[in-house]
Amino acid sequence: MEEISRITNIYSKIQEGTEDESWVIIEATAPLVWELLRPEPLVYCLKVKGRANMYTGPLAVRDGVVREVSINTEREGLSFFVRLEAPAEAKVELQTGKLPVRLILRLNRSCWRDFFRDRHIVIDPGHGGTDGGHRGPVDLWEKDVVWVTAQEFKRQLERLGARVSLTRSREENPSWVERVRLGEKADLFLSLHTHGEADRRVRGAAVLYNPTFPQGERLAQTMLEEITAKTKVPGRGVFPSSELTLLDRRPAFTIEMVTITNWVDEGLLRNPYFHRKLVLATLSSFFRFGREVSEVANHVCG
Amino acid sequence: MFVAKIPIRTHIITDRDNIVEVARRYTEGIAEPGDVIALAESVVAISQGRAILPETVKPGWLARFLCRFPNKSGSLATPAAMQLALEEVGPLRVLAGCAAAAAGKLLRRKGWFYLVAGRELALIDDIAGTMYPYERHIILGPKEPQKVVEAVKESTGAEAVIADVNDLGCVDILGITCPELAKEIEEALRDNPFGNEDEQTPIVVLKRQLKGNLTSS
Ligand SMILES: [Zn+2]
Repeated sequence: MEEISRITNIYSKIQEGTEDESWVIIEATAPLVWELLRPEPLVYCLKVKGRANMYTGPLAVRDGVVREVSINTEREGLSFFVRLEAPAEAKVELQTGKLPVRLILRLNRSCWRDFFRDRHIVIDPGHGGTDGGHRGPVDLWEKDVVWVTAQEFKRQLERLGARVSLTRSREENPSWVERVRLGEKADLFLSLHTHGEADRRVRGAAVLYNPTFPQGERLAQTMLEEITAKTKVPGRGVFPSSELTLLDRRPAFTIEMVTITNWVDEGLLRNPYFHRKLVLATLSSFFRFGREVSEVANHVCG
Repeated sequence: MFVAKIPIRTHIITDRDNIVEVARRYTEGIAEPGDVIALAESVVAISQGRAILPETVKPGWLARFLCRFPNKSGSLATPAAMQLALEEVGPLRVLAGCAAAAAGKLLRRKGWFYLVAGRELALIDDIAGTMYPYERHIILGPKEPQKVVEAVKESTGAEAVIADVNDLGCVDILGITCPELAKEIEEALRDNPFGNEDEQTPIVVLKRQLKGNLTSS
């Protein structure tokens, strides 16, 4: 058999640690010869010798730092083009201790930390207590699923150094005025709900924004775009919400993450990865938007 | 003992794919005689056209009635999935299964429904929100898994197995060319190397020895 490494898999993950990193991992059957180039500030190119035994279509990552990896097949091997959301330092590690051999492109996520650190964010899980909200066709209640998502928001944001307040405990149901009051001094107020319809065929996610906040509609569109791309839930659109105007000119949004009265959307909520992805997509949209409207993130990441 | 397990990233398998050909192509140069090619149950089923959109199913009154009883978060909790179950094994076996489940409930025994109604029904993945682009589909169990693994062996020279692995580490072997290795294969697949969510590695090569180009450093 010829002495050529077979490249068998590529995937990505966020490696949590003292410093979180985005990892793009290439697996192969023998140690790889590689070369790392940076043809553009937002593109790394990892050239690898070997032959693909795997599918070489693009890998959508969308973890806030890495957008996508596309793969070019060349005579000697493969080129992996890693497209970034924001400039990030990279290093390459080759693990040959066991099979498959792993070639890891490790990208620093400190720009995320710098962006979210010390921000005060209020998460408002809708309903609660005797108010269950909408019910799924099988058995899920809105108040319970938004609670799960709220916990995931809290976990991910606190890892990034943000200060998180929840508007309720698991079985409380404070009034809207009480919930909103917590948001008055926060950098962001995020209310979590699911949509519900008598027509069980209606699916999808929506983002409601505070029309008195100047960039509300644009940011809501960015949020919905990231959420639909990452979770694959169809988008129902972005809408102004009169309830959110209580937070005069402040950034306040309601995410209707799915339409719980639809069979498929209810099924999605059972999957723990769904909540994780929804949170990652939402945070990505703030990060992306923050970079688009200001140069600040550029300075801290560069 | 297996010395390595090598998950292989594939394209999105559809009903236009021949699963035996897919297995041969992706394991070429990696799986040798004695190694085991493991295939995820769901992609075998999908290649056989057994991923079904719920809106194309017309649930009858019996399906709408019976779907209220199974364990809610599991399979068969929607009318469409129950209708497909009725079509798979016939209403009599489903009803017998329900009776067994009711008796089991009294005796605090689980799993009597599938014991009586048929193990193949346990393989129906109700809309579970997994595996894009099939997250809207109900996926039935694969047809004739034993024939499929034998064809894979015929075409590749390696052993083959079709398995269902869930995130709780339960491994269910549906077809196998080397039954003497069943225990070791279950152990090797327990951490679900087929991946979940964004990973698309429905083929895993379990290596028994390292040779040829598969030299560890
Ligand atoms: Zn609500």
